[in-house]
Amino acid sequence: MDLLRLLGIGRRIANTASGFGKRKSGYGYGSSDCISGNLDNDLKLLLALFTDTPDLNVRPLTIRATGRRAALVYLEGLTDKNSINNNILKPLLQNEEDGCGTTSVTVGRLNRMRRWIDIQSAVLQGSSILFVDGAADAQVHGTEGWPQRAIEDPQVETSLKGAHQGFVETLDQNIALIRRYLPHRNLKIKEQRVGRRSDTRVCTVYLDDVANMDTLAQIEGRIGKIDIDVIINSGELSELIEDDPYSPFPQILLTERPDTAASQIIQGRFVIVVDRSPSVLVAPVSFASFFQSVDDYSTRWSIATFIRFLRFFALLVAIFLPAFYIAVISFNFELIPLRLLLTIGEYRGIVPISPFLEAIFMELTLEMMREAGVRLPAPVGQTVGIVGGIVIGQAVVQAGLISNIMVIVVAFTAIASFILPNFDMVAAVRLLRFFMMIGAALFGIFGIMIGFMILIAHLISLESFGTPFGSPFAPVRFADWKDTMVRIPLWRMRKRPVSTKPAELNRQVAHRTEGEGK
Amino acid sequence: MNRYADNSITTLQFIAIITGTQVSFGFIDIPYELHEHAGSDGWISLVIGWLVTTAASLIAIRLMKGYRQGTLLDLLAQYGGRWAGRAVACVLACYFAIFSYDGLIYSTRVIKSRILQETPIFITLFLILIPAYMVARNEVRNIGRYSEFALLASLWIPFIFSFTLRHANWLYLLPVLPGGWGPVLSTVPHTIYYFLSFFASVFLYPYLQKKERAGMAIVIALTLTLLSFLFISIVCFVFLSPDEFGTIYQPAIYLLKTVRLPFLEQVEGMFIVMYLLIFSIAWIPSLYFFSYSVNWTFGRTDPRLPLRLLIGTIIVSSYFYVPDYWQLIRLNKWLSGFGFGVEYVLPLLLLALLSMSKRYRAEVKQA
Repeated sequence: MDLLRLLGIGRRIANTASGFGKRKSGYGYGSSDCISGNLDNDLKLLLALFTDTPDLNVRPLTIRATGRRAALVYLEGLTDKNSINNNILKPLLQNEEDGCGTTSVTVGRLNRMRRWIDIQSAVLQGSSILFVDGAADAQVHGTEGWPQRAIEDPQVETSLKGAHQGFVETLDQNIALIRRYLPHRNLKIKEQRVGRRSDTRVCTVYLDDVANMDTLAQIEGRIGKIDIDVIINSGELSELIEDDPYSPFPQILLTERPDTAASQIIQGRFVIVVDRSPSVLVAPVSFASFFQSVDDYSTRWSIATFIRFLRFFALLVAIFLPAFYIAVISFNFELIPLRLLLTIGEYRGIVPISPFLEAIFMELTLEMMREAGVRLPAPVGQTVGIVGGIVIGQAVVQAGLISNIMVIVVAFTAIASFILPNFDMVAAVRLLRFFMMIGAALFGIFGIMIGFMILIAHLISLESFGTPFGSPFAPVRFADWKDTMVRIPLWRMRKRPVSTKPAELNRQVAHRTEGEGK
Repeated sequence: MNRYADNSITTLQFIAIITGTQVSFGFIDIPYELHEHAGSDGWISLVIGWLVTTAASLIAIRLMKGYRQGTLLDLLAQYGGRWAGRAVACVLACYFAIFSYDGLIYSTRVIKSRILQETPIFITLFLILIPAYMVARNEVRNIGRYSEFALLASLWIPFIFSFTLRHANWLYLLPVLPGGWGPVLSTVPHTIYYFLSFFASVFLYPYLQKKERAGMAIVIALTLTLLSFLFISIVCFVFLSPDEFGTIYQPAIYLLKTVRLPFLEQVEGMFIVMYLLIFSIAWIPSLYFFSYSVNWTFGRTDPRLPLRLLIGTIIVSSYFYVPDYWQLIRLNKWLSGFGFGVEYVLPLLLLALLSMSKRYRAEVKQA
């Protein structure tokens, strides 16, 4: 009978451990789902919940101050041993005179819980629980201490002048990193939990007097609707909440830089921090956001502007150049000057395959080399460069399989895609390049134009959480052009971007006029 | 009501839709058309045509003024009953269907004759209808965004044409009015065709964010159209001698043969392809207005079904039959008359009826 009851509760808890919405509302829990207060019963039930859990440590003890029996329960690897030994066990076992009994433990965060479901989740998140015989609730200590790495330089988004701290895998530390940039009480955090099994904490960070509350409602609503077993990292969350899942373009910006995250928050955007993930999500973003880098704001504005232009030019090159090459060689050779055509013809003459196959072959080789470079461990990675550079670059031309011009085109395309600052956008561009090449192979320059128009038609209908993705190009928002193709001097950038529909548009008071300070 | 507020368009988008639709193939055709009828004085006819059109467009705006809840069709339904609205909706649906068909066939012909000689027309049509469908199946907002992007992305066009001014011979513009005002005035009706589609404003009006600027916006739109037409006409007039004009088809494209950039041998081919962006504004809004009218008639809201039907019909029919150049010209002439009826006469008529009906209602109320 007893065992049956235990199993029943255990199963019910396991089943409903899932839907956090249900849990919050407290639906379906009778009094029997709370701890009983009888230490032996409670421990038995606990062990029934955590079967085959060798890392669960149950430490029976007698509290010296009160003389009551108790047990401290925690998971071995997730807790900080030092804190448990010195701040919980030591005072409990050694302190004699203490009127209030168990509160003599010296840990910062101390809660009381009585429902099994909460206790179970607390144990799994790295808290240690003290059951005291006769007490109707258990004492939960914040003793989290799971393995984690130190804060390091961001790996993917390197910068010359930006900060050298990147996000890590712990949510609280990531929020702390953001808060360091915005120590303001209006920096608000909405916490939600996602994942039936992973119970991942997801925090939306924003400035509540700047950000648009409608957008917040949308973000919260979409996160709240997710009902999945586990999310491993923020990329998965972004795919679950983005607007158009069929689009090749990323509609949410991922960053691993706290300074970028903070500057996006100041612009009225929302940063979504996912526990266990070293990159955070930024939404709503527009197409142009993917071409901004944190260095743009710390270099001189004229240079930053030049680099912005370079990036947009590189975008065009990375998408269209191989396609244009195919179109010009196989269809519209009248477009290019005769002497250039002759030069190309000289090298193309001996190549036995069609320009399209030639281009596809080289582009695929490039993509493979890139992927190999990413996946290979660093010491082996160098060989990719040697094999790619010498064998494919040189030998293939000498063998007469691929023309020199094609190698130049591919190299140029590769360089162009390397200077785009956002990895996800580059991935989209790489994919689009192939479609453009197919269009060019079938219909020449007309095919490329159709591809371009489809691209535009797609981009203008994309939205990112209710804000237009194509802004400020389409819909045109001249006010936002100050920080897209050009980056005007910071002292002139008085307003936030209107595309995020901020509640507070003004960012700074004019403190200098033109010509001042000369 | 909310439906219009959610998906409002800015003044610039409004201007872009109207100017874009008007300019599109007019830009290629109008120099020849003007010169054929009025010689080098054609530009005067253009200005007169613009004046007439401005007046007509202000009437259309006047018609919509004070009615913020819906498009022209809703307005008609309110005053003349559901069936009055349906009748006009049918006429408009036909009009916009033919308008977009005309635009599509025209651009496809241009592409076929200059770029893709070998490709069958129905494939070309199919290709250019893909982006058109992607934009037109959405709401007005997206059409506005598309049009303004297309217009802004085409601002290089005047610069490329200004290269041809090296060969300009300004004396070709003289003498002014050799044949008196007669030919100039008789050319005005021919310009009407190229100003058509300002009537779109009666559909766009409820979506406009700042309705008080509608009048100004439409005048700006028409003026932009006039300026671009004047620009291309005068560039062509000073480039080609009066005798050459009769022998050259689509002089605007011909002009570009003289331009040679260091990295681009044949600017003309590139121009036609890039100009597709502007061409597409001719049919995308019309396709949308067509589906809007059809949906309105049947009380539906999803624009995709009528669009698919129309697009399917166009593509399939083009497999069997495509109007040739002369038939296209005849279609243009006919459309010009139809358009005159719909865009110039109809608003005037409706305005008169509407004010009479309003007065009548006021009298009934007083009595």
